[in-house]
Amino acid sequence: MSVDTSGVDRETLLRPIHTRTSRYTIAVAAALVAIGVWLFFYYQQLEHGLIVTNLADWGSGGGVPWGLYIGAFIWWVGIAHGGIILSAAVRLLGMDTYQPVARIAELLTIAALSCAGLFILIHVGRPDRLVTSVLPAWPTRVQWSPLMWDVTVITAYFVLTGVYLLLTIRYDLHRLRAQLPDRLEPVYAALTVGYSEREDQVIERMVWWIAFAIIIMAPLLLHGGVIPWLFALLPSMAGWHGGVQGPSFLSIALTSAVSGIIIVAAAFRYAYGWEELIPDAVFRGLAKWLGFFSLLFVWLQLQQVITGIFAAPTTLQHATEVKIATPLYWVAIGLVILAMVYAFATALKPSLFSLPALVGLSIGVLVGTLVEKVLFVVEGLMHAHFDLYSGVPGAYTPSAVELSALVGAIGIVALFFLTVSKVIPVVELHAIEGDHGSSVDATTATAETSNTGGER
Amino acid sequence: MDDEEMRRLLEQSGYDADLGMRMAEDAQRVAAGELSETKFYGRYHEELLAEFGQDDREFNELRDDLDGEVVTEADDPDGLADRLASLADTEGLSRRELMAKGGAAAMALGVLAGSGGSATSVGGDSGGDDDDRTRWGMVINLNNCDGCLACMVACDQEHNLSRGSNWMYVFTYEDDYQEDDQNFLVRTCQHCTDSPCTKVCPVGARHTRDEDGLVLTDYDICIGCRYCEVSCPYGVNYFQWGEPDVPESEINDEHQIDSRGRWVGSRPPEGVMGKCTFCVDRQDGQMGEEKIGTTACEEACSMDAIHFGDMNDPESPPNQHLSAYFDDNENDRSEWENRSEHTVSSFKLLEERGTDPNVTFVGNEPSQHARQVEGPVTYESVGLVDNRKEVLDNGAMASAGGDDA
Amino acid sequence: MSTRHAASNVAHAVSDAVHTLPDELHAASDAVPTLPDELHAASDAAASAAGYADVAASIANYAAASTASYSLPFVGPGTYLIFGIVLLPVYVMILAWFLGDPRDNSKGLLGIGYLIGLTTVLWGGLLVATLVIGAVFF
Repeated sequence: MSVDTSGVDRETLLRPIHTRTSRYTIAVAAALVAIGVWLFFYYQQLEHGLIVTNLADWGSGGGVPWGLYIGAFIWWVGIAHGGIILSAAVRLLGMDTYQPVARIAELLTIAALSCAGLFILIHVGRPDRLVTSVLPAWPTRVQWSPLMWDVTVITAYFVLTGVYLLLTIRYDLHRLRAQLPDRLEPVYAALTVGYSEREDQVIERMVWWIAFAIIIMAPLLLHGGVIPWLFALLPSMAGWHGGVQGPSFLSIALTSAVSGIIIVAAAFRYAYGWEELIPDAVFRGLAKWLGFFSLLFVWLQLQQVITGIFAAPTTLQHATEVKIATPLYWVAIGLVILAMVYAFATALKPSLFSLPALVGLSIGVLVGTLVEKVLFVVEGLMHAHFDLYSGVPGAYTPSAVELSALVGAIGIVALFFLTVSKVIPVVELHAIEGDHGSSVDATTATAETSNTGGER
Repeated sequence: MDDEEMRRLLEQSGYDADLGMRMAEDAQRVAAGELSETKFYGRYHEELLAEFGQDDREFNELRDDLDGEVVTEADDPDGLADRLASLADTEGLSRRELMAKGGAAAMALGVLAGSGGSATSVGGDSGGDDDDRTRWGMVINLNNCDGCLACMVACDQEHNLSRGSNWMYVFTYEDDYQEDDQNFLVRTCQHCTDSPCTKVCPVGARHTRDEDGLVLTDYDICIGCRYCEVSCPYGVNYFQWGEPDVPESEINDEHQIDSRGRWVGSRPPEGVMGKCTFCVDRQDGQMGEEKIGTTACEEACSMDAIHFGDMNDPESPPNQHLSAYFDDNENDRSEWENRSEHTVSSFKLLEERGTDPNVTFVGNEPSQHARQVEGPVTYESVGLVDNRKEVLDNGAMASAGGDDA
Repeated sequence: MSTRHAASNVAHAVSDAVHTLPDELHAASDAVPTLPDELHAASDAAASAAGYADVAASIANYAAASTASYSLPFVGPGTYLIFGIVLLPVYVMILAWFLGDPRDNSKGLLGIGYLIGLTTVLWGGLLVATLVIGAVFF
């Protein structure tokens, strides 16, 4: 399955930058409202402290000190993995099918990682010390604290992805300069500093190596490493401990990452009439990945459940029994299974494919993975090895303050894409140049003069 | 069972059967009083090492300890042999009995080495494994506890804690595996030598104080991520979710700033983590010389259940209490001389978690089937809050309401 | 550390080896309540040997514990994990920028500049944000 988008003209590629619609304005306004709602609640949290959340102490009080904030943090980092999967697929493995969505995925990585960082900021009791306490302690604490490992690896992932974007954007901006808005000239000048066409091959090689570095680091050592280790290394909570958490976290990350890309790419295609730029074939391919990663997700859940209930140590058995007795857990698993079944069904019978259905199921997957992550954190804390406290397990329902952060973060991601798409092309120029190793025997419609006037 | 059988068993073990036979014979002589145990030890120490293929030099430290103390009886208060000896003394075991009951003794040694001798183990960031250092700890005699909650009240008042923030917490529990209807567990911070909270803290706010092993939180550095709370197997951490009940203006610096000038004492300010400090202000002499080596909970306890002191000092109140209590509960061994010396059960909480706690409990350990029940004195009746969640939920509502207004 | 581990291991070996003995002897002595004194003594003897081995094991454990590695300043699991494993791909990447072909050192330096610059922007931005939060709310 290959996709040829080489016939699409540059004007189509730059449509987000050149158009200005009322729908865009509404979208920006909606994003700002979402952020505003969160800021309103976050102001209260700063004013009164974390008491405005429904978090509490585990122990003599029956609460959970970690809740939705940490669950959402893990979830956002998981979504961030989409960027590198797609870029690596294109650059390292030559899977040019996904070239049209590679940059969208990279941008999603930046946005999602920012949101992950945001959730850490709002999770801590003293956000004002997040730099002044963390940086001076780093040289001595990185040797011990899994949280410091997280900070380190997430910073590295963020920076590498950023450099990747900054280097790849030079090629596009240089060639599209004439068609880009003049008022942003200083931005483009800065982004293409020192550019010469001779550098293309050098840069191409450099970014190959960045992709190589990230593809090892992000999945295996970030979401399959330091993040699950935050929990898996602790002996105090039965439901968290153990080696399966790494692979399990990774499977969840990959599943939500592909869902995230499907949603954002579909949104761009819908908004800018990019049927030829991001053809169905891209989404059909992404659907297969979604199905495959969902399968891994479900399989690793099975591993945990079966080892947790057969003849497990009593505390683990208890934690697992509670987990499988929680209806919400099955909702989460059900949402992922639904997407998996649909993905495989469309692979067997292509006529079943429908982009709206895929987007809907992807949203379901994101809901499911978020629920699973929050349950993992919360239920893990509610079933500690030491279970003499009558208050434990208590109950935890995220407060309005906590839920608003979720809304705000989604608003931030939306605003990020709305802004960035006005400045740089969110699809690589390579995607329409056809000089990137894509096959030419494509059967996909690539009409150059297309009926894409919807947006004008 | 004859010698042949014994030899066969020894040979099955795969090690030097001759050595085993000779050891067994000599051990008989020790038992009969014909051979001093010192000599017995000296005779086989080397051979055991040789048999198991180790270069003696690798054992220098080990040997120095053993030889220096067991053989020459050198007066080294920190040595292992002395600890062995004091073990024998504290537990009312004679040296001979210690030998004869090697297994039990070793177990007991483990207990003592973990608490008393726990200078042997490491302090968080301290790097200190020096027995000369003070290592504050407790022996809590649960058999003496009557669940009056005076310790909780005293702690609450001394440290200006917010409601429900029970640095000291007394459980009353029922246990199918114990005779009494009401059993107690008195839970402070365990001030673990190998504390998970210290390890996981990203900023080094939660730390082990070098000089005395106290596990403290630097309120000036803590970012309030609550990782320590999540990592603690005992649930002793209490985050300051909102404004503390007692404002800082009402608390003297003597309570808050320790001898190093770090803000680690009294209740935490908003947004950072707090927990039992073993009354660090008292230990630093800031409450007066006479308060050093005491805690508020210990003082309040009229049942002689809580014993605070330097676990490295055999003469410290906790160690003295332990030995005296063992003596008072001597086993009737007139008929079965192989019975243990005393009938006292002692344990450390969740010791299998590898935390190396500095609190030793006398009494029965709650089983997995233990469940907390209402005690003889309710928390409410002494003005305490059991489940802090209720306070926090109210606080959340009050705050939200306040903003609306 | 290895010395202590060795000490611990050998002591355990002694303990295990000798332990097989008393169990069986005790079983035998339980089975025959009217055991002659001599045999009781043998049993005791074996027990005492086992006892020493146990004590030796405890001592060795103690010795091993006394150098808990995390007391040393720059040695913890994170040292190896973060600098030895996690950042390895980054080292390789940077080396490849300057060593392979085609290469352009000025572009390599641009890459390094971006790495440092983005890290600085990220943490600098966060610093500003936290300082503002600190000034307004704390």
